[in-house]
Amino acid sequence: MDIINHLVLGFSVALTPTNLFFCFLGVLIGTLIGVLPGIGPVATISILLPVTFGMEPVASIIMLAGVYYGAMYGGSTTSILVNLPGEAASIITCLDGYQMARKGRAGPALGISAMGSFIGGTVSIIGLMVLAPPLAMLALKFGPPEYFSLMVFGLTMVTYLCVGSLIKGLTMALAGIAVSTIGQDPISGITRFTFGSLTLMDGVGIVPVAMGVFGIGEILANIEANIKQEVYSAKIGSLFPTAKDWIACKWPVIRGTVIGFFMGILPGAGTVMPTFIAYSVERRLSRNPEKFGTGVIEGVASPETANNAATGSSMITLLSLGIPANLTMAVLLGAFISHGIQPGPLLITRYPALFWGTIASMYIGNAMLLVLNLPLIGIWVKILKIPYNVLFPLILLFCFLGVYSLNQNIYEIVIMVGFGVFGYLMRKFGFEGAPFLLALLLGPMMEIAFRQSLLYGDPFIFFKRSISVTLLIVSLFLLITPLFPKIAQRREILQELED
Amino acid sequence: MRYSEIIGGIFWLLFGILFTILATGYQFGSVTQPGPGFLPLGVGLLIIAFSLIILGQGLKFFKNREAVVPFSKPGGLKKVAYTVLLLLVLGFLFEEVGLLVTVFLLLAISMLVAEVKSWKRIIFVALVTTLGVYILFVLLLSQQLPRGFLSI
Repeated sequence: MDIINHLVLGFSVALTPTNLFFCFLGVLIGTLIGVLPGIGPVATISILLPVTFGMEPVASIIMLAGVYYGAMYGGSTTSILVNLPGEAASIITCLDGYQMARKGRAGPALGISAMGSFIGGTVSIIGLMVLAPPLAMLALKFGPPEYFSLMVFGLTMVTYLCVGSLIKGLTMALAGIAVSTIGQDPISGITRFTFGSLTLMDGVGIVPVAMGVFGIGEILANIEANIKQEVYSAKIGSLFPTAKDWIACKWPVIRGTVIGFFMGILPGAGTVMPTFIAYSVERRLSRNPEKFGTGVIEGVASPETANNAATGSSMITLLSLGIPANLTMAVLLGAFISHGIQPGPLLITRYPALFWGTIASMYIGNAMLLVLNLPLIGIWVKILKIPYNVLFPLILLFCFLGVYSLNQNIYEIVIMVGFGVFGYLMRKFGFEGAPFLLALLLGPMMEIAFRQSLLYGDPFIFFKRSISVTLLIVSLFLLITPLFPKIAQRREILQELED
Repeated sequence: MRYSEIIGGIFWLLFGILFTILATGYQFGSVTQPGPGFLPLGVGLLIIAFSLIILGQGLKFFKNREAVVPFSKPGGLKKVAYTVLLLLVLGFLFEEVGLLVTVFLLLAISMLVAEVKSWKRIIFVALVTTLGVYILFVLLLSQQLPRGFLSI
């Protein structure tokens, strides 16, 4: 059995003391920033990136991946105890989680989140392990037209899955591509749109923009709204869900795993959308849908399982195709490249120790999180009691230092602040940041694939190759569906849920 | 919130026009030999088209006189502006004044902006964090951060 040999290799890498330590450190930091509102895995991995330059590639990827899935565990704690999402992927958990806490059932809510996360996370690693290698083999057959169509599909997905207006999402995606052309033209080497700036020669970095749009932008919105949190910690009670809870959650956890896993694979879906879908599916299937929002445990179990199930599967496209499925993966791509490793179809065969070591570390990390998290709840509660007006200056500081330490360039701070204002305004005007950032990231890869495809001498090449044309037809289908009233209605419901 | 479509539409329209004009400055090439200006021009034109649709949607709702939500809470915008200004000023001064002073000022002033009332708390948090940042980033992680005029 090939896979067993590979796993033995993986565990032999992941179980060395150094790698175990970095796995532990990663999941611990991940949980912490998951608990803290306003700072997510994207910003954290960006800050940690320069620190990992001196580390072994395996250790640094193990740690950064730990931050990613660890954050999904931490996010629910804040949603349940404070009614404020610690992570965007835990927004929906506030609805029933906080109500459970108010009814004195914070313990079971936290418990089922952790256990659901463990189940979803573990199943999703199995999926990653099984699917990534064959997909990489398939991807070896991909030429520029397939890559281009795949990226178009990814951008369409992220736009489609955004709540609200599709046309606004598309505009943001196009704007992202526009900004991505700043800097050197990847083919001819001519500089474009730099206005003589040396900083812009290398293009607009994804890290300052991501930290600006998501980190600074969110903080500015929160400062304006003057939010104050109230920690509900009067009585957490036993963390173990009762037998009745388990029976109620059996199917929501299974469905959450499936939904999270399959949505996570799709480029652009990220970890947020699966939670929304999982929650609305549970509500629709429930015998008492009117009870959702009043503190039913299924409303916590399903989305919290889904966001962890999406973490493993979202790594599939990065590790097998070299295409990041979401922003965190985008920053992780940066981590690979900084160690001289190009993710893509050849990654698994060229760096088996890295690939299988990371997979093995994710099994270990998920188990660590389950064991660690429940006893640490007391500490998270203390951290959550830090008032927001003291917390946000600290988050600003970490963004500030993180962006600077990447290249020691103060103009990147300016870029971050600029995009922070941009992110804040776009939030106000109902434009989503996610399509913009994914497009900014995929832009250069897309342009290369696009222009190389045209060099084949046939502008219709994208429609003449089967994989490529299938992806384009699916994308087109997604883009025209909102014209049909029934689906448009569903999107509006999702938007209401978000509000 | 229909102002959002109008203002957002105008913003992207202006962006699209500017971007398209700049894009014409680069060689377009041909459909089978695309140059550096090929993709930017196409993207610019598409942004113009989409922003016009958004603007159109906004105007349609505007005529129907939908409820208009105020843009911001009173005083909120001022805090946002102060925070942005603070980050920019400190960004430019960072390499001159160095890590410690910047960290202290960033924390103290942004806490003031966020209406932390107690002076003792502001100074305490700012001092402790400055020390913590020094230990973490300089002593433990030995990152290259500007020392500034204090040379520490």
